[in-house]
Amino acid sequence: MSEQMFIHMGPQHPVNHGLWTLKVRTEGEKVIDCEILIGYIFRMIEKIAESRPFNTFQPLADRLCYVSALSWEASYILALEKLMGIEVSKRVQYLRVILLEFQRIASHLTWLSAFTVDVGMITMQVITFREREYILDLLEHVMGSRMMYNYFRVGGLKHDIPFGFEEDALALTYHLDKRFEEYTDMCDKSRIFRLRSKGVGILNKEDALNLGATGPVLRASGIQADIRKIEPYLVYDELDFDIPVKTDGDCYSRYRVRMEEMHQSNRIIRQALEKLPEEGEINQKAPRKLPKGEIYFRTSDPRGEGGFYIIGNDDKIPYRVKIKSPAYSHLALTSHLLRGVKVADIAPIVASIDLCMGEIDR
Amino acid sequence: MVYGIYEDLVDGLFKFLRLDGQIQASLRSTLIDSLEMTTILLFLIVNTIMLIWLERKAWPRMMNMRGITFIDFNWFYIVIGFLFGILFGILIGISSGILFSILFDTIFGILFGILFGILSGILFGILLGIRFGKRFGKTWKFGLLQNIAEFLKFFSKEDIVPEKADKFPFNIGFFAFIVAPPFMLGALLPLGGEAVIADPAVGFLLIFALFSLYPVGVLITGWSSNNKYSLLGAFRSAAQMISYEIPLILSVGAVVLVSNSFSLVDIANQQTTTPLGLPFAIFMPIGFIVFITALAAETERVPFDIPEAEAELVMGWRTELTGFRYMMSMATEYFILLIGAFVGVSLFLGGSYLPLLDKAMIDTYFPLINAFIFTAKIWLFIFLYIWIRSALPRVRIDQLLDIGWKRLLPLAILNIIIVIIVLVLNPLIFGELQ
Repeated sequence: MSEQMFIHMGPQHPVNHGLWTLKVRTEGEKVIDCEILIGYIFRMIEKIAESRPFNTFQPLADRLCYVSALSWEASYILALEKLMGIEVSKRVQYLRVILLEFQRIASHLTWLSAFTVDVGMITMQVITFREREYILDLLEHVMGSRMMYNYFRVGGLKHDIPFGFEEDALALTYHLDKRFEEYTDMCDKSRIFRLRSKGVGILNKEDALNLGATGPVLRASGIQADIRKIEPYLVYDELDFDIPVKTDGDCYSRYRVRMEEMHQSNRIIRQALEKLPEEGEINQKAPRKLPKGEIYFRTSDPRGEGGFYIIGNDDKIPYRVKIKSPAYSHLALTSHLLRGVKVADIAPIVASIDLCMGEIDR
Repeated sequence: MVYGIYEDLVDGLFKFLRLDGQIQASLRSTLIDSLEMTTILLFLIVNTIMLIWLERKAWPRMMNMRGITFIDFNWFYIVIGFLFGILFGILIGISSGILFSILFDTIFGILFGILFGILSGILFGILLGIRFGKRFGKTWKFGLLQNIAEFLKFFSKEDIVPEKADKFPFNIGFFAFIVAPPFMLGALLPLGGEAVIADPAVGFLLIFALFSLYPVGVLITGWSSNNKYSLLGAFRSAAQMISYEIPLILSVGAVVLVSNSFSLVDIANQQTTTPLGLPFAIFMPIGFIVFITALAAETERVPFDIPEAEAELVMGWRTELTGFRYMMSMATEYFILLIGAFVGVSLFLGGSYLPLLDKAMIDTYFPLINAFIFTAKIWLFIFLYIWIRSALPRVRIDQLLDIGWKRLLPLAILNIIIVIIVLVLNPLIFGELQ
C-alpha cells in the first residue's frame, strides 16, 4: 500500500478528547503528515472578559477548562490581586494551595484515565475515576460544586472551609498514595504498556523549548522548570517539594512525570495542612475598580504554564484580557510529534500531552 | 453418551409410525443427527449468550472494584451466597430428579435432573454471592435478560448499507465468510466424552480451515464498506490472522505428534492414560501458552484487538455495520472464542475427564457428568480471556507481528523439538495411542 490517503479524525472521534479535527495523511500504517483544525467551540471568552466588570468574569474563567477549573480561576484571581496590590492572609494562601493541589491530582487522574484507555487499558479508565470521585467529593464539601467551583474571590475565599475538612483531606492523601501504588502495578509493571509508551512520540529538549512546551511535557523532555519554583506565587516557597524531571521525552516519561507530580502534590497538601494557620481573614475588602496598569501573571496549571495578561484602565471593566493557555502550544506541537509514527501511536501521543479544548478554543 | 437419549426418543417415536424398514432406518439416522446438531448449536448459542453475559458482569466488576489485585472483593459474602446456592441446588436437584424419573423413567433421566439442579444451584449461588456483594443496575434477575433485550433492539434497528459501499461483497461476504462458517463447526465439536456428531479423519484441521475463512470475510467487509477506518482495520485483521495462524497450527502440531490423530475425541481420551491422567498442558506448557496467545490473536481479543482498536479506528472493520449485522459480527467473535475454547480444552486440558479419576468409571456410572466437566473447563478457559481483557493494554500492529513471528513461532518450534526429544526418551509419558 504505497498510495497515500487522508484520514479525518474528528471533530468527533475517540482520539481527540474534545472537539477538534486531526487530518492525517497516511501511507499504509504510517503517518506522513497531519493538520490540526480547531475552532469548533470558540466562545469569545477574552472579548467577554473585556466587556463586563472583572468580578463577573470569574465564573467564565472556571469554564476555560472543565478538568481543572480551579487552577484557571486561581490564575485570574491571583493576577487581579497582583494588579491591585492586595496581600491576602496566610490562611487563605494555604487553603488555596491545598485546594489547587487537589485539583491538580484530580486533573492528572482524568488525564491518566484518558491516556491509558488510548493505550488500550480499559480498567485504568475506571479505577482512576474511582479515586477522582473522592477528590471531587471533598472539593464539593468545601465549595458546593463538583466541577465549576467559583470559590476564590479577589481578597480571599467565598467562605471558610467546613468543619472536619483537615482530617478528611489528610486521610485522602494517604489513601491516594496507596492507590497510586496500584496504578504503578497496573501500568509500569505491564510489559505491553511499556512497549506502547516507551520511545513513542519523542520530543527532544531543543524542540520542547522552541515549540513552547511547558509543564509536564517540558519536564519530561529534561528541563526542570516549574513556576512554583521559579516564581513562587502563593506560599509555595515555604513548602518543601521536588519537581520531577525525566530526560527521555517520550510518552512514558510524560506519564512518569505526572505520576510523580501527584505524589509531590500529596506531600504539599500534607505540609500545608500541618502549617495551616488557625486564624486569618477569609475575605477582605477589595477595591471596586481596577487600577491603571498592566500585569502578566502566570501559574503552574496542571497542563503547564497558564497565564493572564490584564490591562486595567481605572474602571470596573478591564481594558484587555489575554489568556495564555499551555494546551494551545501543546496542540501546536502535536503535529510535530505525529510525523512518521504509526497510526496506532496517534492516540497515545495525543493523549500524553493532555489537551483540553475548553482553553484552546476559548 | 449424552446423545443416547435421542436414540431412545426416536425409537419410541417409531413405535407409533409403521414405516418401510429402509425408509425407517434412513429417517431414523437423519432424525437423530438433526436432533444432535440442534443440541450442539443450542449449546453453543446459549453459551455464547452466557459468555457475553459473564463478560458483561465479570469484566466491569474486575475493573471497577479490584483492579488486578482483587483487594475490595468481598469473599465473605461470596462464600455465604455460594453455600446458599448449593443448598438450593440440592433441593432443586432432588425435586427435578423425581420429576424426571416420572417423565422419562430411566437412570439417565434421574441423573440429568439431579445434575441440572446442582448446576443451576451453583450458578444461582455464584449469582447470589455477587448479589450479596455490590450491585448496580440490571435487567430482570441478575441482568440475565440484557442480552436478549439487546438482541431485540438490534433487530429493530434499520439495516443500513452505505450508499457508496460495494453492495454485493458487503452483503454476501459478511454472511458467507463471517457468520456461516462457525455454525458449520457444530458437527465437529464433542459435547463431552464421545458425544460427537461427525468425527472425520482430518478432525480439527477442518475446524482451523473454517476458522481461516474469517479473515477473508473481514477483508471483504472492510474493503467493500468504503470507509477508511474499515479498510485499515480489515488490513490489520488480515495481517494479524495470517501471521498467528502458523504458531497456532504449530503449537497444535506437537499434540498431533504425540497422539498420532487429528480427532478431538481421541486426543481427549489419550490424556486419561498419561501418568496420573494429567492433561497435555502440563507436559507441553510452552505449547499451551503459544496456543492461548495465538488464540487471543485469532479471536481479536485484548491484548490483540488491533483490528477493532476503538482508540484510533473507531470500530475497526465493523465501523459501517449496523443493527443486525453489527450484532452478528460481535456474536460471531464470541462464538469463535467458544469454539476455540472447545478445541483448547480437548487438546490441552484433558477434554471431558479429570486427572486421577478413572475414565471407565466415569463412562459407566456417571455418563452425563462428562458434559458437565467439559462445560466447566470451557468456562474456566474463557474466564482466563476475560481476566486478560481486564488487565492488559493493546499492542501495536508492528509489535504484534514481531511477537507473532519472532517470539511465538520459535517457541512453537522449540516446543515441538522438546516434545520429540521427550517422546524418543519415554514415549509412555504422553499416554497410549488410541
